Amino acid sequence: MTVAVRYFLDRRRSSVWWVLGMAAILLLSVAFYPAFKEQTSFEDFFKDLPEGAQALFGAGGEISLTSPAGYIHSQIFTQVFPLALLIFGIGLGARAIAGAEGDGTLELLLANPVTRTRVAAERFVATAVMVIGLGAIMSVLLLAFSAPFELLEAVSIPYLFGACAAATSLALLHTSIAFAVGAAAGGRARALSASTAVAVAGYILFGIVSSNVLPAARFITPWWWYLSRNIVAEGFPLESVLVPVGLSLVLGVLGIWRFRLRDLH
Amino acid sequence: MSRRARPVRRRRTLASAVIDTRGLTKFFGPVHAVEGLDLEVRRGEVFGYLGPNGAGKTTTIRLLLDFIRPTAGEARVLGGSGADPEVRRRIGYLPGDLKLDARYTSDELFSFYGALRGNVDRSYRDELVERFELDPTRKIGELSSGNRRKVGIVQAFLHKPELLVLDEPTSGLDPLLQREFQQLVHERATDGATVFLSSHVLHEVDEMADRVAILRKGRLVKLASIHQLRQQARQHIDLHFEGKANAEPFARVPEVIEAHARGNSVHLVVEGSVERVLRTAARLHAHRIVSPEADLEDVFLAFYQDDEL
Repeated sequence: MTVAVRYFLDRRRSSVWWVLGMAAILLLSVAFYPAFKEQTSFEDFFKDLPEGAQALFGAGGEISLTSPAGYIHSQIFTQVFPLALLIFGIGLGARAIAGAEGDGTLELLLANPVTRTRVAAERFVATAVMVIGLGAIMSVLLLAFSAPFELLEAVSIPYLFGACAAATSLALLHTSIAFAVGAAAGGRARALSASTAVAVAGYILFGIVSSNVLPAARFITPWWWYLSRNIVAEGFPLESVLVPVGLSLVLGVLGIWRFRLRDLH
Repeated sequence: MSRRARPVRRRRTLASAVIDTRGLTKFFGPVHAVEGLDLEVRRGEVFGYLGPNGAGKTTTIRLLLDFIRPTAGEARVLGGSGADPEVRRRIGYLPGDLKLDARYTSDELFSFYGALRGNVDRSYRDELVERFELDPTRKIGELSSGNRRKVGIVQAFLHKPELLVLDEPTSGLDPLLQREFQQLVHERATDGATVFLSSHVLHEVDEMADRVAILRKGRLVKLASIHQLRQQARQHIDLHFEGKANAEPFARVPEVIEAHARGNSVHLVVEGSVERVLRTAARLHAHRIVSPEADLEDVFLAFYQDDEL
């Protein structure tokens, strides 16, 4: 695992900054809750929006936005939590092969006695571990910060962790898209834009299918697996983790396989 | 050579060839980067691989190391494929366009590559660092381009590889370090290593190489020993006369390629024997002859320019 370990070490400094940044953002997000829960006007504002828009903001349904579970779902799990992990993961995924290829360091690494498969597989594992690791750290931080701001009242901690796992899985899927596109075709910009396009299109499609338009299409957007229900309040569907993680593995393997066959740029 | 005889010859030479390409061809879309390359580098020789920029030198090297795959033909390195990690373990590679991770110190880079190669002698590494006056604790991003080049050289020699593939190795090095580098190549060659040295300028390799290949527009135009090249070198001769010089009689000599008269002297470029030139000069009562040492660079440039080659 020399290649993977080296890759962790390469990213140690930026990872520390990410953890610090996430801690600050999560703290800020939960700290508003005591003030927010008195405000019923938010609730009224979202009630007037169409269903699809409500779903995009994590509003709608039976759960009050001002309840702890409603607040966590709408303010954390529809916003900063998945968004930060997506940005972190897509950046890492695009860098693992395509980024290193673009800055010219990959070729010298591959002049060593390592196969392309080994380099790509170890970097894929390292990337996935970093995304899962940041997700895990954010989960623990969220739990730690929620307690003093009355956000854990009547909230199931296993469900909270379930939502964290589902958000991390969503990020992992997009990380794997960035990785696979970069490994298969090369070009960091291409990898970044492909995975970002999938994320944005999936999010928009989630808004559309939530308005009961095209209900058959709901299962093709990864956001549906994750956001179609308030996991913190309603329980944790296993497929919200299993489907994206399974797809990530498939994408990783496909990317590595194509990477073996092509010319380096 | 008959078709039947060819495989027999190949089998005999394969054993001693460290690099062996057959009809190696690489097209990038419409660009014919390398075409029909037959190359054989023998064990223990220093092989100069020359050609102008864009001739296909780097493409050849990238094919040898399996960074890119041939459109046609094949390349064998150390008896195997450049894709095989066990083959790469025995290769040291210095890219022409050297890119190193700026965040590493050279120590970190050497340790990382050393761990991957698994056969690095720590004292030799220290010796190289000392010879090239590197500060191993400084981040590569903070180094000058010359110092970065030195890091590249050290990592290529680190594990005492059997084959060194060096792409434009001394570009960006000051003359003192070029000498140190030449000394290092010489040492490794004496130890039995094979060195594949690419360059676009002859003088970078003519002191080190035993044989050179000249590549032009993706094709091999010349394969010769440095000694043979020197013999081919055109000679420049200046003849001085008492009175006004006349180039006309010299221009009629077959070996004379160029003849110009200026004032009391004639400047000649001669290819081959100078015998008839000297007879003519004697007949015309030349009283002084000046001939700078035959310039290899001219031979070399001729291969770059002449289309019929």
